[in-house]
Amino acid sequence: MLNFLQTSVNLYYFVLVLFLRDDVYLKFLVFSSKNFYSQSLYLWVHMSIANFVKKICNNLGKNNKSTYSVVAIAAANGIFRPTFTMLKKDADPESKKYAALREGLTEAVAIPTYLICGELAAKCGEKLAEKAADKELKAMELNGKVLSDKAKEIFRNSKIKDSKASLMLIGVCLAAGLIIPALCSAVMNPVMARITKKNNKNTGLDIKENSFGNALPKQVLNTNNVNTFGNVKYPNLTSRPSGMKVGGV
Amino acid sequence: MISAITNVLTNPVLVNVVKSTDATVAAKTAVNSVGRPGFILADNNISSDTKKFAASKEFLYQACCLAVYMAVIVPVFKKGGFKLAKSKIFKNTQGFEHFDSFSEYTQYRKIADILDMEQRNQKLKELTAKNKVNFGRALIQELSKDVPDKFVDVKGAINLSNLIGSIVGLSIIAPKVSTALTTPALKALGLDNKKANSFQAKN
Repeated sequence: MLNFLQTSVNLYYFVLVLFLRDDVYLKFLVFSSKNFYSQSLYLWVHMSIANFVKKICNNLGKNNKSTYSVVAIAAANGIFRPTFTMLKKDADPESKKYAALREGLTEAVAIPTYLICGELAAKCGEKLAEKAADKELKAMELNGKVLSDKAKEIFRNSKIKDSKASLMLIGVCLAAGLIIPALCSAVMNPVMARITKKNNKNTGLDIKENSFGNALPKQVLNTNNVNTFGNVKYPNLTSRPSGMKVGGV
Repeated sequence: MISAITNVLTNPVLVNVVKSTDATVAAKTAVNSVGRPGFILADNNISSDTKKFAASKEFLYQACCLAVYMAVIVPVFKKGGFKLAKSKIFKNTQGFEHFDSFSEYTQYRKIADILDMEQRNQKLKELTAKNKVNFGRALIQELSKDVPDKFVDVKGAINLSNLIGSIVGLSIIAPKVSTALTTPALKALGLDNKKANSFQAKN
């Protein structure tokens, strides 16, 4: 019992040390307890978290790609937006499910599109930079500037790296402003229709037309403002006809 | 032609912007604020009132996200991330010992990114004369090397904190703030959800 209490206290101190304060006093409390397990756990977690963060920092410092941030945001949006939608208390459960599914799918379309567009643009950047670097090096040689092989390689590599990074951002922006909205407009409605149809078959429910009539709030009920999937009518919850979801609303 | 395009793409100022997380996120949000409403307005299957409403809503939402991100998230996470990394994670090592603030590192990086050593020294003298930078001996020595150390861990720590800030800001805070702001703004503009719906119902 005493051991259990001591371990609990040590764990509490360990959490304090790890997340709140990293001063000598708290470290002393952990290590003076002579509890081997809490000491080892403290050291292991502290070291592994710190090393993990250091590795990420090093990689991001050396090579930060535009796709990393947009994919991370899209992934977070894909998790948080449907969660927030499902947590809304005043909305109809079926409406919530539909809206959350649509939001999740929008981000699921966005992630691969960002990656593909970014990488394709970077490839183009690489080819462009290679040609330009060769031309510039030839021009330098013609002007009588003597460069060592190492200097040439550094010049070429830096040109290629910078050009790739710039074009990757352009690719990501193209995806965000043009390709993803177009893809969502084209793909979202048929995909949603298939998913909802499949779900209805699986549940085996006999849902009649306009069966949501009594369940939905008045604002979303509108005879023309509905999407029809098979025998079921779903309200156009976002008041938005295109495939995208009006962000966060 | 190719050389001209590549020169623009490899411009040090542009490359610096491109490699920072906050600039990428800001550019993406700005493009979203134009592209998404544009696609809604280009849709021919819906009434003009619904189009106006949806496009305005989307534009205001993205503009709010951008404003919240640039005004709150970037400064808070940049400063906070630098301090946290300096004191807790790297414990004043890996280059953090040379810099007291993120802006000091930015100034150093601007000079260190200049490839030509003469130009680099000139820029350093220029900025020191204007009292814009006050680097210690170690940093000045570093800048006089052929290839100065760019202290990638410092840059990476800032990028990581910006990345976390972007996720928190754009996925959690900004949607809540912009939802609260867009509804009154749309009403003030005379655009109403009910109006758009009733218009659609009539047609």
